[in-house]
Amino acid sequence: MSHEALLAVATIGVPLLGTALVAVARLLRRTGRTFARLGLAAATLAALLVAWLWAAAPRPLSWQTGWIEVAGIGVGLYVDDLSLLFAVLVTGISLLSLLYSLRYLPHELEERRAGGDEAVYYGSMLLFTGAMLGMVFSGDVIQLYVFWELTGVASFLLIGLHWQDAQARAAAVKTLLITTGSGGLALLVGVLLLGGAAGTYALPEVLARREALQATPVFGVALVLLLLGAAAKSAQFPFHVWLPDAMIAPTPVSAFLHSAALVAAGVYLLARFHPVFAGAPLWGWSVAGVGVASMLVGGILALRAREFKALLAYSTISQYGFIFTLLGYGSPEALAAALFSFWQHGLVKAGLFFAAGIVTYATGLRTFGAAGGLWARLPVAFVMAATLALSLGGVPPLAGFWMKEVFLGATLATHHLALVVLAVLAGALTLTYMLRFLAGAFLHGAAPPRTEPVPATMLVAPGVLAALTVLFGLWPGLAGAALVQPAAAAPTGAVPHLDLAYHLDLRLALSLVALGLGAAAFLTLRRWAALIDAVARPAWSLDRLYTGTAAGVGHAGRRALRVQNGFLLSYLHLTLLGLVGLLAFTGLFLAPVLPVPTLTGGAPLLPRGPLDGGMALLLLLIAVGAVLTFVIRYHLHMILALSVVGYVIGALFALEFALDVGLVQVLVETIVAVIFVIMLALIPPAVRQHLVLGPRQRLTLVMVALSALGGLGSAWLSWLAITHTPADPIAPWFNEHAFALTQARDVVAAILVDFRALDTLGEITVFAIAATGVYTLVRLIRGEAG
Amino acid sequence: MTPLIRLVTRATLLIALLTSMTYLVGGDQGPGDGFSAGVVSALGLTLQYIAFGYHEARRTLRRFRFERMPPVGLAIALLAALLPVVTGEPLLAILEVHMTVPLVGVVRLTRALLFDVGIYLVVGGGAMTVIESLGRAIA
Repeated sequence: MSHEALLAVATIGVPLLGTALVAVARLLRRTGRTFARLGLAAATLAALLVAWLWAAAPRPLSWQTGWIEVAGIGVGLYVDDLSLLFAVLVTGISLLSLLYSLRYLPHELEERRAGGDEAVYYGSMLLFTGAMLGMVFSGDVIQLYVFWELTGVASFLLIGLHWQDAQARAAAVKTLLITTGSGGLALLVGVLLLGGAAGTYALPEVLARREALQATPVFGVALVLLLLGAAAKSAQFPFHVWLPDAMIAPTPVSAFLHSAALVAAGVYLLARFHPVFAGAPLWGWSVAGVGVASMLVGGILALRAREFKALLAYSTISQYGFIFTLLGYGSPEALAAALFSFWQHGLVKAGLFFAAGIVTYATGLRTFGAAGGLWARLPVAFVMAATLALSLGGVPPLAGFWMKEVFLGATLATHHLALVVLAVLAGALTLTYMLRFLAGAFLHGAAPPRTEPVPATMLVAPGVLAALTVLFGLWPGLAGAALVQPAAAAPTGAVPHLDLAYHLDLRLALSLVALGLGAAAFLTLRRWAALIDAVARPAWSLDRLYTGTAAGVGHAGRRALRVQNGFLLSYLHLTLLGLVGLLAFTGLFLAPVLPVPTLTGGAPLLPRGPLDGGMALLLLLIAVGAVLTFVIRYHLHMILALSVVGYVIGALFALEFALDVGLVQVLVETIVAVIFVIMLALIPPAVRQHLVLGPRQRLTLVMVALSALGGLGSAWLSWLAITHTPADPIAPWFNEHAFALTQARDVVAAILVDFRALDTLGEITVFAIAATGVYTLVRLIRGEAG
Repeated sequence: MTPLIRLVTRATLLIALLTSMTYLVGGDQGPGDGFSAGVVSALGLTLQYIAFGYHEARRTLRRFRFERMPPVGLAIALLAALLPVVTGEPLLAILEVHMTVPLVGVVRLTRALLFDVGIYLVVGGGAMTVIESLGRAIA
């Protein structure tokens, strides 16, 4: 493993280690300041490591080793310019968000008072940073999937930070169900199909077997599944419904996860597999279709949003729609344009969230109409917000203008008139809703009577990002040449052309038309309200589809819970029914088709010579005890009769030289009898009296039939087990090797703790859970839990 | 309650604990193992509750927090399972070390023994957790 590879591992490890340290600090009861310092330190170190990798690491940096070798799954690193583009943005915004959180978070926790916890916040932010880095550096597709899901877990924790707030909990669950539950599962099946078809899960090799993959029949299915995963993660139509709800998370989370990083995971996935899929026609219309739909739906819904952050969320949906559309075009130039847009959008949108957070911090307000007229009170924040909003709106000479330019350029290259029209419309929408954001938050209306002073640390993040958007607007080639073009070149090796200069041509003309349309639409926005509502209504119904489905699943779950009605008799019925059903299925359908060569050839254990007198007596005792248990009515005696059966079986084991088994049987019998007696004492005396002296319960035909079938079936199974011994039994192997391998003279012990130790580990886990369950239940019933 | 019963009950606990230790340490050479050791200990302790009644036995045994034993035992068993991984062996592989202890001689320590200690705590502690919880409900 080279030095560079070690440093790449360290880059993933540093934020994850930071999470662990935050957890330790929490256990040591440290205060919020400690968590914040740990968070900043880890994020700074990760950013420095990424910068070092960007400057010095060879491309591609590839390293593989085995993990689950039986399944051919490995772990590894694959770091190229594409990974680094994402890593630079992730660590950069992570650092800015944590810096912003220093003053913002305590304020929000104080204001909301809904169970938020600084340790959970900083721990999850670092976990997310580490997971994102792990994902973009993954050298194995299964590993990529694992880190992908880990980002979802961190997002769940952050959205649900204010866990005492039911809305926050619902939003967290919604995100988890959509991004992880649906999208993540689709991605898992997709990468399994891809890996299966490629014969390896190692990322570089999967990518290298492009031609072979394109010829396999699973190609189309894998493509659709990967797209589903990416669309769910990137909040694309029709999965976009989770993103506006997720805005309940603290603002730095929205700036980091829900504008620049988490949603970027989908873009990374599609860009990474771009060389494999991009040639296919299916790719073109499905990815670009999702993109165009999101572009328009997000743009229109942004015009109706009531809260600042919701508007920004819809705008993210729309802007990622642009990126998906570009990815769908499939050409290397369009890929470069997509990555350029992704990069510029990440910077601008994070900055806009920071600006929205400043408004909320200063005024406590979150919605349009309530706040307003703040430009004079918050002049610095207003300048930053205006720069960023106009940049995203596509106004030259800011970076966002070039986003629209490369988008229009790539769209013109497809020669589809409809796409060009939609592109101009979506560009106009962007300017309209960004103007609405700016006017609603800073210009319209009267300023509230009192605003809190905004601390300097909160102005750093939006200031840096606003400065960057001006810088990349004036010199668009800076980011293009250093980061985006190498990243777009990484898959194929050829550097695609990215046209970042002013030309007097159709592209510029269309850009200006879009700007004019957008500005005109904003000025006449009131006239369009009815039309926007009419268009937006069907889009809302997707949200109701989610709510309805979730409610339906919950309802079905509660119906299923009725099986757990607390009546032992019905549990017994169900258990017996299951047993009889299983036996019938095995005997009638499975036995004829099952190959049973392993069950023949061995010497049967029975008959094994004449029965001696002692043994016969013991067997008779067992029979008597068994019959007595259901003749006796007094429960204490019933328990004793059952115990007789158990002890005699123990004695039988001892006579058969199975001392260990006999010992365990006797011990367990004793302790179970004790527990039985205690349980009996727990039944109220009146009920107990009734059970003994009251009328006997009538046996229904069903009960009798079930019991008889269950008993006969068990007897049949036992008979099969003792008359059929396996042809190649494992027992002799244990007997021969126990002492040689483990130095144990007791073969049972050797099996339990050495040969079959994994089974034992599972069993004691169950035992521990059951015991803890009883403890908790009894405390709950007695009202002691708390 | 006569002093004799007190004495016998107390002595039984001692014998039960000694027996369980024998089972635990000598499990690989004769009958018994971590599981039976756990149950024997639990039976010895249960007898205290039966003979002295819940409250008095609880007072004597208040140092024992049975409900904490299953997770601790599980952690020890997991640790034992992971021990061979440190030296590059597979999970739960057979592992043993020999140590020379003054006056005692060579002592053989195995991964299996540590695993058995985990089982002992889970089973003994778990059984006592159940009996303690239910017993408290009727006390």
